[in-house]
Amino acid sequence: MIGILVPILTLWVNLVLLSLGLAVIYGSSRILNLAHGAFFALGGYLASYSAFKIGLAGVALAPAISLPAGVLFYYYIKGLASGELEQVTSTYALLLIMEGLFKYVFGVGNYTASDQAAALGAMALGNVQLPISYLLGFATAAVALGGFAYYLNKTRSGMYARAFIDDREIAEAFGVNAKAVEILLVTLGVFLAVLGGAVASMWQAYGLGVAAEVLPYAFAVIVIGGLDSIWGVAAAAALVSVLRTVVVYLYPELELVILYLVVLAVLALRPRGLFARHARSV
Amino acid sequence: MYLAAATAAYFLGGSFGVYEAGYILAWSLPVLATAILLEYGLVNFGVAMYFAAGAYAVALLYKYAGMRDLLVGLASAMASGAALGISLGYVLGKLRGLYYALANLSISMVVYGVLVKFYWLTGGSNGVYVPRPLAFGHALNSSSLYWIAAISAGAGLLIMASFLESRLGRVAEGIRINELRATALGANPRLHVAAATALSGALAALGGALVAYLTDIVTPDYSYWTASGELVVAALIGALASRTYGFLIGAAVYQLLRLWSYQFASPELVIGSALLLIAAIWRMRFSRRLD
Repeated sequence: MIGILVPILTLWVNLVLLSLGLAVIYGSSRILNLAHGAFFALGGYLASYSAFKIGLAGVALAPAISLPAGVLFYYYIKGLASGELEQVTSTYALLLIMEGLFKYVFGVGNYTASDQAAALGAMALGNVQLPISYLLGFATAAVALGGFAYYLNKTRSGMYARAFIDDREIAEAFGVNAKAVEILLVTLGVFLAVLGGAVASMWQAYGLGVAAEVLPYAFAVIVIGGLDSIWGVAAAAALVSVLRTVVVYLYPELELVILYLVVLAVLALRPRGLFARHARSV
Repeated sequence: MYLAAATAAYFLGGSFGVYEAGYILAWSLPVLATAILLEYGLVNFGVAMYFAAGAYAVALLYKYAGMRDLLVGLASAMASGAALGISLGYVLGKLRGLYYALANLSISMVVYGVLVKFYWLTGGSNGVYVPRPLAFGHALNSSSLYWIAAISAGAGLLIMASFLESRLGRVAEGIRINELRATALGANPRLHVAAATALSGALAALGGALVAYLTDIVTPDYSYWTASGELVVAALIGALASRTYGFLIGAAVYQLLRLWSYQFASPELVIGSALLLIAAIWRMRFSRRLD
């Protein structure tokens, strides 16, 4: 019984950071970022590569790239992605460009930091071995979520950010520096995705197509959880992880299908998401 | 003008040129499907599932009933596309914007999941082999298929032109510009969207069947979300160029770009950069928006 918690845990860690990043980017710039999976893959590739070069500590270095990457991404979307339809072309083009760069720089093999992570050992929970790296990943995700929640709710800058996401024009009228907040939030969104990818490199392999593969899951999580709150996204990620893992154990044919059936059910019954705070047009 | 271009392509291209031109014309049909829905202001990220429905209709007809007849194949493909289209169009007809896009993406991934996982029915990720179709007892070669694709794309052109001028097309524009006003004027957006999705489904499925005949194999990848993404990008490129001819232009530009990019070590990089260039150039020359 406990054995099923282990894959649920890792899937949750993968999903929550990725989806939260997507939600933050959408909330701040109203851009549906089709290239978001590519940032996840970027984190994974860089973490695996640096773990290979300097050991497991290298995984912690990888998210640093997200700071310049996030700022560059902000200017990219400001310049080329303002209309709803232009967004699609530009972010899809960015996805292709990043996948192409990965192929060019990293080649077509599989990258992972799981060998270095295995050196940490495992602890026994009942009759199940729980690798320490999984716990480390979970701890990182929990700290990131907690830190983000603290930032949003307890700091002045976070208050501006919340106001900005809720209603941009009124926030600007009240004197919030819209440009600064937006750059900050977009970079934060990219950072979360890259962090998610870096952490997941401890158990996941990165190769071609990972960027495109994870994106629908992120979409599914933010549709189910709603775009309003961090805890909504975290809870939705937990729901998706549990659902998918249980289905894989019980009825594997439905593995790819069950998630999207749930998304459709949510869209039909509670389109704002299961954990929406208030009715707000997105 | 279309007939001239189609005939020129046939005689100027070598056998590969004819094959590739046929592929472009067949692929332009799902692009047309996406473009029709774009007229409503709806960005549909799941048109690939109608494309896959048509392709698999033809493939499974052969696999289980040994049916190779061209007209039966095309008709059943269009019927499955239309059936899927009208049901999904009605069910999702109230959604707009982001949620519409994601809902269609989800359903197309459900279709993908079914095609991959229920492998004893659908052949799984290996796909299903599709032989060349028979018309009046003779197997068709690439040249004949080219003309069939050309005729279908030409029919698509006529459909698009008449759609834009018709009542359906005017209501579409109304829904795109201001849905509340269109409803106040008496249109039922949900029914219109359902009808348009049925039409799009039929057209995309026809394209799927033609591509299946041309390439001899159908795989679940036909329904993957990146396939829909390619269709949306091609439709957008085309829409920026022309409302009626857009689907042909977009399909041609995208497929020729893709072909050209294969000579490089990293084709995705080339395609992505080229798309970016196109988006940037159009943005500089035209401040015209579609929404």
